[in-house]
Amino acid sequence: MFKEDYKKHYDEIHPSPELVERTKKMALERYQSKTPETQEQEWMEEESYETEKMEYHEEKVIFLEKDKRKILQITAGLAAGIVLVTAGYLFSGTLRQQRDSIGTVAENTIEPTNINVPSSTPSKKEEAHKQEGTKNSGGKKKDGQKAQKSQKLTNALTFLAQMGNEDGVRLDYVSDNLVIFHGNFGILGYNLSSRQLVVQIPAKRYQFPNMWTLETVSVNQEGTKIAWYGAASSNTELDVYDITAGTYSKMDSMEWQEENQNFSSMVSVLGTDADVYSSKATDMCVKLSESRTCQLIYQAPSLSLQASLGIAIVDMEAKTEQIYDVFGSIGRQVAQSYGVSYGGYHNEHGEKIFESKPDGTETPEETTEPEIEPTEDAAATEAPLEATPTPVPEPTENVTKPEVTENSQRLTQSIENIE
Amino acid sequence: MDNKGKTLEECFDAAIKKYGDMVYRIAMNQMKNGSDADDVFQEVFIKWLQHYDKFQSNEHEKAWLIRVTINQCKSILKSSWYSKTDEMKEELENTLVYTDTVQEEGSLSEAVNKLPEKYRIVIHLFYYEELSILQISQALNEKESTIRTQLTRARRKLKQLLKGVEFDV
Repeated sequence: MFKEDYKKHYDEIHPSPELVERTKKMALERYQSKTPETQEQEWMEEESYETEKMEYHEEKVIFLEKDKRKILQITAGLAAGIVLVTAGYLFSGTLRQQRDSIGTVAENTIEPTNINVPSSTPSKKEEAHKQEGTKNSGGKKKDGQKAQKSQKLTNALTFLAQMGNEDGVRLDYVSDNLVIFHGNFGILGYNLSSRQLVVQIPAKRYQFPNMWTLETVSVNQEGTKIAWYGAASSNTELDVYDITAGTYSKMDSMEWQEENQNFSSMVSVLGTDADVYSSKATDMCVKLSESRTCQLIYQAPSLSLQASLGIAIVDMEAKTEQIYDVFGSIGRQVAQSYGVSYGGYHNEHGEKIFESKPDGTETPEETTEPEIEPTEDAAATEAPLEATPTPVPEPTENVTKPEVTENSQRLTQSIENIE
Repeated sequence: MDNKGKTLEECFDAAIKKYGDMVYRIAMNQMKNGSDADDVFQEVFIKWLQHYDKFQSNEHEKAWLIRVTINQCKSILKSSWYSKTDEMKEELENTLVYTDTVQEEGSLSEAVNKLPEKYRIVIHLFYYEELSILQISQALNEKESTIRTQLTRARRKLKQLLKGVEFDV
């Protein structure tokens, strides 16, 4: 009886023909706006990627409207000059990636310049000192901790890698220093200053029932406590993790609501100036201020693309952004320990760090297609704002000279053609 | 997925014809109002067009659409603007006399709308879309046991709300 009545009620609900027409028009427009210049764009990406990379390093990445892309073609000639400079720069950048990949766990190596944060990348001396210290005292203990930490991250990454586009990753909390988000892998908190994962709550261990739903996770206003409904929780009881104390507890949901004002300032970026990653990101962002937003950039793994997850802080007024890579240099560890079929992850510059070789060995790639394309504005090439090039790191002794790839050959050829 | 030989527009029309009502009804079920459901509908099919050639089967496509629709609804419900207006709505409702049960016949939708979102969607997928518990659990990425519990609780709540009205839930 209920079923029939329910069906009868919903049978009368249909989308209006106007809505269907409007949707069709919008969808086709949106689709076509991305496809017509695909070939040209591909060419442009190959040609101007080096320029983009340089801009990335300057951390003055400007996001632009799609209709300005054509201007980029005109500036391609200008860009060619810069490419020559970049060729040398590229080489040193590759070396740096290789160096970083050896011992870094969830740390980014290139710090954003327009935010005053201390670099978490140890200098060569510090690294040497660290290594010496590890050898001399408590080395095993540190190694054990590192392995444990690495294992946790590996679990999270494996989940991330298994996710599809439709699963998504959700932002839960953002402050100037901390970004908390969740996905099927669990809950993770990323410290923007130290550029490290500071909260890791794997889904499997704590039995999250349904990680992709937004309402599952809530964070208090101060960003010190995270609450969720675990599988063992009843409808009125929440699992709570205290970030500062590092402890787990249970709490009555009413009590949680009374004690903690939930953080909720999620807004949609669709159609706003901050909508620069709609195809590669969750369409929700958190406003840090009137002009600054925080957004997650997520790439689900596919046949041609590696999984990656980044945090973008977009300043709409200054038209700049900073990209923090959450899963970057630890891709190799994942690949090694789990034998995951895809070879690695991208760093914050959209560069693929590792590529699986048929024989199972992995070597850094010299040039790859940028996965994240924040620079689409011609203005970025014409007049970079307060461009301050990052100092070129010196190569370490361990690394070997990478082989010349097809991409670099093509690049050289194209430079010659332009000249 | 047989999209071969079809133009993009034809593919889109076929998808709307096949899944348009389903998407819109789920959106209505979650959002409880037409204008928000319209927004959800638009966003879902815009996203669909970006993935239309990637679906492996009709089942995959349907499950994807259900999931994306619900995600889109949740995104809107979670937005700060919506939560603010929702608070206002709640305040307004609190000032009105609240009836614990739905007295009038024909107010089935009202009763269903009083259920929490997670119960509403389970009820809808089970009774309207006639999905099995397993299918619902896959579409919602939940365990089967969770869906079963939610369905039982939803029925129980509906029974309370529909007290005095002859609905065999």
